[in-house]
Amino acid sequence: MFLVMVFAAAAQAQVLNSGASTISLNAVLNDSITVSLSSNAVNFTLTQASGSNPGSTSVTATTTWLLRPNVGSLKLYAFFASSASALTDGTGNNIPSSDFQISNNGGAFNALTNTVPFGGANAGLQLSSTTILGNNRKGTRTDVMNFNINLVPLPNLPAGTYTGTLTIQAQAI
Amino acid sequence: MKTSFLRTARRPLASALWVFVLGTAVSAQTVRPVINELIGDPVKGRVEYVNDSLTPLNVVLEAKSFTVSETGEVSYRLLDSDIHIKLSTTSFRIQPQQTYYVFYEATAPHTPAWFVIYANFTGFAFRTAQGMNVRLQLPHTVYLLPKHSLRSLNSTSSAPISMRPRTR
Repeated sequence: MFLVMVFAAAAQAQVLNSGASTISLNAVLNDSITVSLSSNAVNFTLTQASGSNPGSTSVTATTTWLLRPNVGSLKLYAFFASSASALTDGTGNNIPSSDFQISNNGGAFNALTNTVPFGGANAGLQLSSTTILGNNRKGTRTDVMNFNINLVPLPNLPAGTYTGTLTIQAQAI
Repeated sequence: MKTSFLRTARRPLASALWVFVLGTAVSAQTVRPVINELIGDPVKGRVEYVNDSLTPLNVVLEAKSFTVSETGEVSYRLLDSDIHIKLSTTSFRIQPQQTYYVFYEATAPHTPAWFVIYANFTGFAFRTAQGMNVRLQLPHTVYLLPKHSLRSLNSTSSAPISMRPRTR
């Protein structure tokens, strides 16, 4: 009888439960933009007064994004710091951005003569504009850029080495 | 013997060629998050830059104010004088296949306020002595939101919306 009472008391103690505790979980998947350029340098072999001076290689800009609903559009721009001297020999002889052309994805060649958010006035070109909707908050876009320098407006450009920097800018707004 | 040598040499040669191709062809840079909506005074935020290429890159940060027109066109300007930003760094170098975090604090006398931090990636491995180099800019936009945002925006009355739960 005594043993039965002891076991009963022990069994009662076993069913006591502790208070429930919680663990807060917080997981964040940040929005992001990735731009991949297939090359970072392009050479040109120039012919005097020729309208066709293609770049040595095309540059493929692959843009990958994962965005939230608060982004309405994703744009890609190309621009120079100055429209007067897209490429320069450093001694005052310049190739202006109006004579530098980009063909995007096989389209027509366009000179960099637009004013885009960054860079010099009349020294840019919008490459692409993607409207972000519910079905493409995650996506990829490829822009294949071919380059050309038109030297028809510059028949007296002196021989020399001309260099410049083209900036590719992504904009999410 | 000759065949065996070629077979042995083929693998490291292929690896070296693959590394060369990757190093010259792949040059991906990432910014995350793209947009940060922060509440507080000052607000504290963090932005992450990833260099997926096989070469180290230099990054220079530049903060700008901007305005969006009714047609959606964005115009940038120098940072408004009443917005104060403390960046943990304004220029840095990201090693290959690495991530770099930049921390910042921002204050503005009136909210909402906003600005963008553009990261200029330069120093790509293959630079040309003649012709054109290409560089990249990626944005990180920060919105400073008011602490009490639940107000009637369209009402002429400025009374705040009560969010107090009902009591029985």
